[in-house]
Amino acid sequence: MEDNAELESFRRQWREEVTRRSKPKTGTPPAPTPTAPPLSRLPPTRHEAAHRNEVEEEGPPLASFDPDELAQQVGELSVQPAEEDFSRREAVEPTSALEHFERAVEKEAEGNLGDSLTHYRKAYRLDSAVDKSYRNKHYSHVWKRPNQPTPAQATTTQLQAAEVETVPTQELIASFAHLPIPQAESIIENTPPPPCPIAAMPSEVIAEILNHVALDDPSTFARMALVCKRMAYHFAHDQPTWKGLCQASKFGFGGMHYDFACDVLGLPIYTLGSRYTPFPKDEPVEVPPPLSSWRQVFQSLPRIRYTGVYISTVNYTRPGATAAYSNVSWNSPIHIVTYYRYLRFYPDGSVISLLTSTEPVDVVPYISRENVAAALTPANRKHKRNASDHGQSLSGAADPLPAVASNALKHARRGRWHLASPTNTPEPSDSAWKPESGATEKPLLSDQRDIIIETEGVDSRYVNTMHLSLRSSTIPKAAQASPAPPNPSKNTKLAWKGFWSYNKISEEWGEFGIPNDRAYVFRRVRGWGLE
Amino acid sequence: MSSITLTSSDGIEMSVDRTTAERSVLIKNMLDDLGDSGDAVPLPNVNEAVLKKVIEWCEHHKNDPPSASDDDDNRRKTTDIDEWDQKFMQVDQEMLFEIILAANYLDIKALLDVGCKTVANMIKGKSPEEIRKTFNIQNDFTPEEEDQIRRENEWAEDR
Amino acid sequence: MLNLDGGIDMKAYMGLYTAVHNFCTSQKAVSTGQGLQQGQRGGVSPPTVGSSTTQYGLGLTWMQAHLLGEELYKLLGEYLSRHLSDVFDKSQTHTEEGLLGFYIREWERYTTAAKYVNHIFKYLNRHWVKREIDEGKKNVYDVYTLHLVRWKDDFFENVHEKVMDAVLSLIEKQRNGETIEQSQIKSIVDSFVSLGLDENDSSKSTLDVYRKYFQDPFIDATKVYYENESRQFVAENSVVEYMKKAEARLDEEKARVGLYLHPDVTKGLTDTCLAVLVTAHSTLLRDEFQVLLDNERQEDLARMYRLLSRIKDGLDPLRTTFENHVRRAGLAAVEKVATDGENFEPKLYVDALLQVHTRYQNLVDDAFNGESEFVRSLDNACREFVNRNRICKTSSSKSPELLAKYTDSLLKKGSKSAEESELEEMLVQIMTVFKYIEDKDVFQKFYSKNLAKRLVHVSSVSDDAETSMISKLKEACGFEYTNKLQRMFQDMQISKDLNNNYKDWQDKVLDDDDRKRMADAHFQILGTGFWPLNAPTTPFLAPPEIVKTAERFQKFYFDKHNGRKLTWLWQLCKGEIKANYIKNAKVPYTFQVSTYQMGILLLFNETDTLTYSEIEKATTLTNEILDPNLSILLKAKVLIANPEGAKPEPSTAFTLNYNFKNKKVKVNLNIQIKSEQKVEADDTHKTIEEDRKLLLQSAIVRIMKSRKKMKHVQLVQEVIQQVKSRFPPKIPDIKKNIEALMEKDYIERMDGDEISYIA
Repeated sequence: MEDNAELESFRRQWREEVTRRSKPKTGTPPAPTPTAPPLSRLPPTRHEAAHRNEVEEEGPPLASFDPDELAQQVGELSVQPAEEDFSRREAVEPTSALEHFERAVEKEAEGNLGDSLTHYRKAYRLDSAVDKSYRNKHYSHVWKRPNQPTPAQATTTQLQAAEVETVPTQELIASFAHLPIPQAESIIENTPPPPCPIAAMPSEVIAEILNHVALDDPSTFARMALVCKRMAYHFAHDQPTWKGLCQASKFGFGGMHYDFACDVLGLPIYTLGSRYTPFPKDEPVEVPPPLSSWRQVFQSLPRIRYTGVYISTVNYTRPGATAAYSNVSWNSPIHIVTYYRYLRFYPDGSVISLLTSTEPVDVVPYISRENVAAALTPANRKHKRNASDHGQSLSGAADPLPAVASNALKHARRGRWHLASPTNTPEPSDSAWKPESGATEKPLLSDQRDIIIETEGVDSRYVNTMHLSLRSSTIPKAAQASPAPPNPSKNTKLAWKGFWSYNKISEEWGEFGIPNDRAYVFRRVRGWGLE
Repeated sequence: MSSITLTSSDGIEMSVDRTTAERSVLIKNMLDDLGDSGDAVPLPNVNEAVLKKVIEWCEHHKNDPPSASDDDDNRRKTTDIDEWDQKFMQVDQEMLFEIILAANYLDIKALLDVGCKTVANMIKGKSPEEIRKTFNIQNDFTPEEEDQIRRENEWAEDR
Repeated sequence: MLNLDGGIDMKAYMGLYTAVHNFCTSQKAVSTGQGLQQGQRGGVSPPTVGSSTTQYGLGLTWMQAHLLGEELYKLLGEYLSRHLSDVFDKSQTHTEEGLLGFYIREWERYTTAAKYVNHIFKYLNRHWVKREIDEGKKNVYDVYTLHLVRWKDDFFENVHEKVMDAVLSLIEKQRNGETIEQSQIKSIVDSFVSLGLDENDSSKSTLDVYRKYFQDPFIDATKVYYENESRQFVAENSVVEYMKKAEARLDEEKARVGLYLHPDVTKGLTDTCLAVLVTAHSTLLRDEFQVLLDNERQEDLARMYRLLSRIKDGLDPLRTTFENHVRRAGLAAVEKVATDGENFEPKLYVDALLQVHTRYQNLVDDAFNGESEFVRSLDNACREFVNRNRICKTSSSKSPELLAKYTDSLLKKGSKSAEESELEEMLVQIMTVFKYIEDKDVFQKFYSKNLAKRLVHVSSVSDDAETSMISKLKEACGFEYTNKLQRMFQDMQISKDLNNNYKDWQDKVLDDDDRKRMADAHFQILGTGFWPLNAPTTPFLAPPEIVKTAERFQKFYFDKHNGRKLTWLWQLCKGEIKANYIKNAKVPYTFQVSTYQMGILLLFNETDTLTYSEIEKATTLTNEILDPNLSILLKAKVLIANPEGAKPEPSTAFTLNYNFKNKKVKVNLNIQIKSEQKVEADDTHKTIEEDRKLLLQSAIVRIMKSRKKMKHVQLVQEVIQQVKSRFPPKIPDIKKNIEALMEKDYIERMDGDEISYIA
């Protein structure tokens, strides 16, 4: 938004194109004002998929390409190192068209449409066919096939390949059972192949190794499954490992809370009774129906991730200065405002909630209890900075917090959370959770996927209560129809159900309106939750 | 302290303390069942080099408390290996797996764990291709199969 | 397996283990078709596993690797089945003890081998078996348990009946007194117990197999054995002998559990034995109870108690018999006392009661273990014969009256049992009888009358004994019951102090002249409300000497306590006078006399002869009092009647006898008059009736005051509740008193048999 003139011309261009095309083709975009351009979308242009649907409310954040592409994209990106490191890549400013395009995709993924727009524009200016080269780079294996792998479009020439693919995945994996681990071939012909001692391991040992891998980080386990067929079989069928994973507390349900485990500031609540856990280790447990395997249990039951951050990106537009006295017109400035809600959960039952306009790259790596504590007591720091050597050395040593992050974290709220307990235990007495009591008699936590978060309020008299619910990203139709439907992580979104403020003294509830209640989406952050 | 003699698969005899040898549940059970006749214990599945390594490990750990049950607390720090064991496991990959096989055969749970954890650490953070390279494994998937498996398992990446 | 008998060397052991390990880990066989054979070559080709693996090795190329474990497991199970089928064949040639020996020998061999094989197949246990169990597969066990399962299914199921027959005949031999090899049975029991596997968790064991196959037949056999034995024994022996036998058998069976059975059998075995040995013959035993009581066979009674106390409701019929027996004994004892007519010593009666109680209290303690139900039966019986017996026939208040008299005789000076500890013991015994007395108010009346006399006449054996008795009564009946008795005691103490004060006062006030003519006097002030005493029945003009003394004391007393009224109880006063007139006495005689007698005798200071009317006029005494007193003086020859031998009547004159003679210097003339005694007792009974009326009325008012409204029947019930600790009220009496209170307008009758309180 730094270059208004350029933006203006771009908008004009867009408008012309829109009017040129048949008007009814796109539905009325849910833009803030009927006459305003649908800025929440991507720029138009040579891109084939110019008229895509409005991003679904519950849709994945990346739903900006046409559905086919998206399916591929989802499949492909997972090959890359799974976690975001949220480090600044500004050091390498994009220069080529492709780099600009990539950055634009990235920004868009983050939900930062303003920046995304800028990069798309630059990319297309540098190379009008940049989307093609992007697709060639990232989806070449799909691209280079005779046709788009959309089964609906499958031609006769494709049928054979399609038949191969349509072996149901379960059967395919079952056929891998106890295949040997294949040894790499000789690098130079007629020399012995490089040693592959792992191939000599009996299944019990392989399972033992994979068990360690999985308990350390299930995503490594998933990558292991792509090494060879034998490993894929183990991944699908090692029930003891999945069961252990479900029971463990690092990733599994042993680490979930179904009742508050600490107070709003994170001090643990001690209890003599044992806390509920769905799969206790000291008694026999069974796979809960209708599920049939521990792998499914791990995959489908509501589970909060500690390995990253949940981000809700909200864009809204605000009319500029001229709008005050005239009809909104093409030349009146419209501001896109983007802000973010972040949630970081901790295994001890505490949580950090942050509402800020600071972008993920600037703040996500710093969201931690330690930094929040530091940011919330900045006065001490500043005063002491000049006051004594002691203070200086302290702040010098323990203050790697950039000012932008520190400023953002000042608005962080400490809190606590718990999932809805599947058993109908009464709410603990210390819980302030009881809005609209009497009005709605049905229990608020009726859904097992529901999560309650209590955070500090505006001051010590208030507690904020967020009622969210775990959801899975919707799967695009085309992808569903494909022979191997993508099976994305389940329950990685947090949809809003309600948001209240509670006055502890007057015992009154006040409801916050959430005008742009975009769901939180989970992103992994490197190094989180793995220690 | 009584000592007993072990014979490796290649016929080499080694004398070790009974307590050391009894880190192996196999040997312990056998001595309990048969009594110590003074004869050498034949270990037809372990060669001299490996047996030496295993004995070295058992010597170092002979006074460890009997291995706790394999519950979560032990597994949580699953890839944590104590310093001595890390050094001990600094061997070539063939030896590493030989030790694992021997531990599995001799029923030495703690050593099997250390071995498997070491292998798990080698896998940590790597891409499938890197893992294949590390262990000289050939990719036996067709591209279609690989794609299918990837989609099937993608949820576990948890991005 | 079989060659384990001769031991197994390390080489073979390791070979076997390695073979199992290599077999299980040989998944490469699938692809290469060679791994398995290689694996086996490492083994020593042992007789058990070796043969089976080679046999099936060829088929493995098509087999999926994880089925290897299953195959091995299956083959092992089949091998065990074959082995056990051989064992079964061999077992056919053995019977009885030989079969037991065979079973035990094979069991020990088999379980020893199982322990080895379990270790040799450890690799299978660790992986394949563990996984199968984790996945919830039924019928998969660790290798040791598999051995047990096979043993049970393939061998045990076929032989357990024969084995048990042998075991049971062995036990029967022992019961018949033969010596047997107990360790054999112990081994069988252990084996049966080992075979109990928990279907849901093979790591746990249950006693199901043992219970079903050992315990049940054993209990059945025990039942049959003792049914026969006891039937026969009872037919040939006395009940007393049978009880000894039964007790011995019960002990023997209890010991048997400790010797070679599983403790789980204890309850079932004991219950069975009791049912057969005791319950089945309980009628017979109970019929003998009366005989044993009659003959006081304490030891046999104790035995019968022990036996019958162990079965349900075994003792109830005995209690009734016992209660009747004790009551009859008590009545008989009283009968004996009563044969001597009305005039027996109260002591005789109380002793008779106590003797019966003591005898049967001891029996309850020694033979019946002091059991509370028997104590209750004893109490019931005692209460019956204490309150309703031949002597009480005329009036139920006879028992408390006699008991009170006996108590008085103990506490009055001059009783024979002087020893203090002995006295205390007798007081305790009195309380034992007292406990059973129903008319406790009667006892209270007589007791307080007697106490008053003892206090007034200073004739108590000791203050300690008196207080001890009062506190015992208080303990038994509460504060209210003894309140007056205690107040009487207090009055005596206060009087003592008062007399001391009076002496001091006299010293200050009196002049020499007064002192010379003063009579030495002691005064007792008795509170009207507390003492069961009445004002004199006759007017009396006291001699001037006495009047002076009395008036002086009265002055002193009214100075101290203004507004009180003193009534002189002349009939209770007494004094001593010296007879200086008698000539031939070196030391003058002293007469101990009542005040009335004193009044008469002092008249003779003026003249030697007085006519009846003169005396009557001077003393103003009524004839009823005057006549008997004159009679005493005549009888003692202090006075001589004129005409000689005449009775005291208006025509008689009386002359002082100057020739009076007596062996003692001190002559007691103050003798209680017979008629007085009788009147007194009647009076007491009369006051009891009056008191009961008051007690009933106050109870009725108390109840109605708190309830306001009440049904007639309920009221009667409540009154009985409140009053029965004093006496058992008769319902017509209660009704009469309710009527009386209605007339006095305390209560009124409402509709529907209801009574209401009038505030």
